[in-house]
Amino acid sequence: MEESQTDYLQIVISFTYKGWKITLDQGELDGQIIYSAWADNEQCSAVAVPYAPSRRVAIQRAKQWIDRRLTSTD
Amino acid sequence: MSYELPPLPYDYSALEPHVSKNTLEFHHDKHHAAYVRKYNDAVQGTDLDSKPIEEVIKAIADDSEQSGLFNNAAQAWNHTFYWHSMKPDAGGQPTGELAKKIEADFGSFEKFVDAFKSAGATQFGSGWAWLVLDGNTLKVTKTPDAVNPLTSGQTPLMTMDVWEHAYYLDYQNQRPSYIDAFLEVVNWDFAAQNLAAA
Ligand SMILES: [Fe+2]
Repeated sequence: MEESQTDYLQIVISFTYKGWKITLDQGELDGQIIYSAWADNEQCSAVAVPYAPSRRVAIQRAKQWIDRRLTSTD
Repeated sequence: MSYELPPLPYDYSALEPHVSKNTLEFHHDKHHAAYVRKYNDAVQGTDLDSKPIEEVIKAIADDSEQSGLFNNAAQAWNHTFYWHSMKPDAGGQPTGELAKKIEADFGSFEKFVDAFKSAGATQFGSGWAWLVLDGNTLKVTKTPDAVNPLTSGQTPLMTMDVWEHAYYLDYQNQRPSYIDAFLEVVNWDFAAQNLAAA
């Protein structure tokens, strides 16, 4: 059993989109920097984008995730 | 009371090739850890702070004003339960009482597998598939987002995370491939223990 590494989120940017807070987290995978995006509102905290190769793609996919979510719950 | 992020009950590479080391590192060290931190931050200083996390989950499941806290509490709990629902060199079929009960309640192990795969594949968006004991009957259920069966009086026996972050690195959008992989590492001993304790 390995020790867990609990220093987890490296937040690079955080902003609001359609009532949701999008937070980009940076990580490293096989020597490459990758990004994931959390989407948070009053009710829900979700990993909207698990892995993206750039900030731009992470932000784009996070917005798409929120748009889909808003459509499916309207 | 604060909830501690439990270490994985196996090495990060122990479930390969079915669930990769990379997936477990991100899923446990970032995603699960973040839910635990968010839960602890939110529960601190509230009336619920003295309760174990299972009690918090049950107490606030129907309180729409507490849905943010519920989400983080349930995600913290669900992930811990999920880590134990897998183990290296596992999979296959259950034995003993659990095997008999699956046969009795689903008709056959194959029918259980069909129901479980279907629950995982058809959970729209993010969520979980579960084997639960409901009264005296085994059932397969699926829940959206963070919801877990404790809130409906069922006893969870094992669970599969079907959030995209559980499988995207290994299987991209192929959730059915991940479900097949999960069944290669599903921890029937854990499910049997939960059944025996119910
Ligand atoms: Fe997860």
